Amino acid sequence: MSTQLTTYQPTPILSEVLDRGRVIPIGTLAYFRGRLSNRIHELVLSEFARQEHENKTSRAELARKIGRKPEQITRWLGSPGNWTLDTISDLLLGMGLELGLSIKSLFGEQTTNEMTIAVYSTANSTSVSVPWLKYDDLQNIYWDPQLYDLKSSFRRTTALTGIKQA
Amino acid sequence: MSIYNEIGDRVNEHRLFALPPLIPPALGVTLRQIFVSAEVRSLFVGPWTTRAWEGRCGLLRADLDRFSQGGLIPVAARPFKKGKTAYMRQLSRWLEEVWEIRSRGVQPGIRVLGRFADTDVFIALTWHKRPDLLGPKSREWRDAIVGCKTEWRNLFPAYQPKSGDASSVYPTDYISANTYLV
Repeated sequence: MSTQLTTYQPTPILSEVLDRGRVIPIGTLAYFRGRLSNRIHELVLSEFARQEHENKTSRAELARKIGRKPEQITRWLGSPGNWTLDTISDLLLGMGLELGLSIKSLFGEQTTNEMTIAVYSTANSTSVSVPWLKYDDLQNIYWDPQLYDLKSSFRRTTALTGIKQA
Repeated sequence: MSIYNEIGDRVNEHRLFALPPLIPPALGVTLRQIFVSAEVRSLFVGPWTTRAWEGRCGLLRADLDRFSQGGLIPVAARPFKKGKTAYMRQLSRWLEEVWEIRSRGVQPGIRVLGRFADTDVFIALTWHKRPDLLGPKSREWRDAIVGCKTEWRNLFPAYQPKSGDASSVYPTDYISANTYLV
């Protein structure tokens, strides 16, 4: 079994957004446009999948309710490629829903005293929060995003824990 | 020696690169991994020929991160006549074990071709602008599939890509969770 640990330090992409004197590169703007589009698509698709699983709706029924063809619904569920705000509204309304809105800071997802470590393994990949680990701690650690065997991954995790606790 | 050792060796040789998502994934989700070839990685590190192309590559990165973020992704259902707009699709000659991730929404559409090294571990090997591939049975598509397989053999000469088990529920052999068949 192999495991990979990846820590998330403040990435360059977020540094670009933070720097008040700097124009955000077009690649970063496009990344976040795509990310928003994908997140909304995933949200709507998840809700549709849930309702479909509970036999509360189907593609044909949703299509009928919003005056579209079933194949159009299939295309929309496949990817957010040509979605507009109207598409989102129509799909959600067809399921008896509307979008709940909120705005949050990009930098508020992780406080300075909390890091997320993604733990990849062949058996059970997941992400965990490490509340005792600070970004500052990581600056002195060389963290190579490669595959490690499970034993060395645990050793490294323990080492990280030791740094903070020391 | 496992395929994971091989991946680690290729990473050490800078012939393959891990591509963790730029923004941390939500806590507790099942994660997936993407490793990219130098050819694919060049799209994200530049230099880019134009500002528009830099933006296009930024959008592509967001689309690849969708896979590694571990959330719900649409996958084309078998038979492969369906799911023409699905985010991810196993190409029609399915015994060849070549998959594509589709980046749509902004022209030109981009197709990233790759193979699964293991469940939830995708190796992105080549990329193409969709208009260059022409129709589904074109020579260009055939060449793209052959190119992807050749790149795999160059990186992992002793290993076959992950293949599906006919008795399993598609596509769980490739992607363990959070898929929606379209």
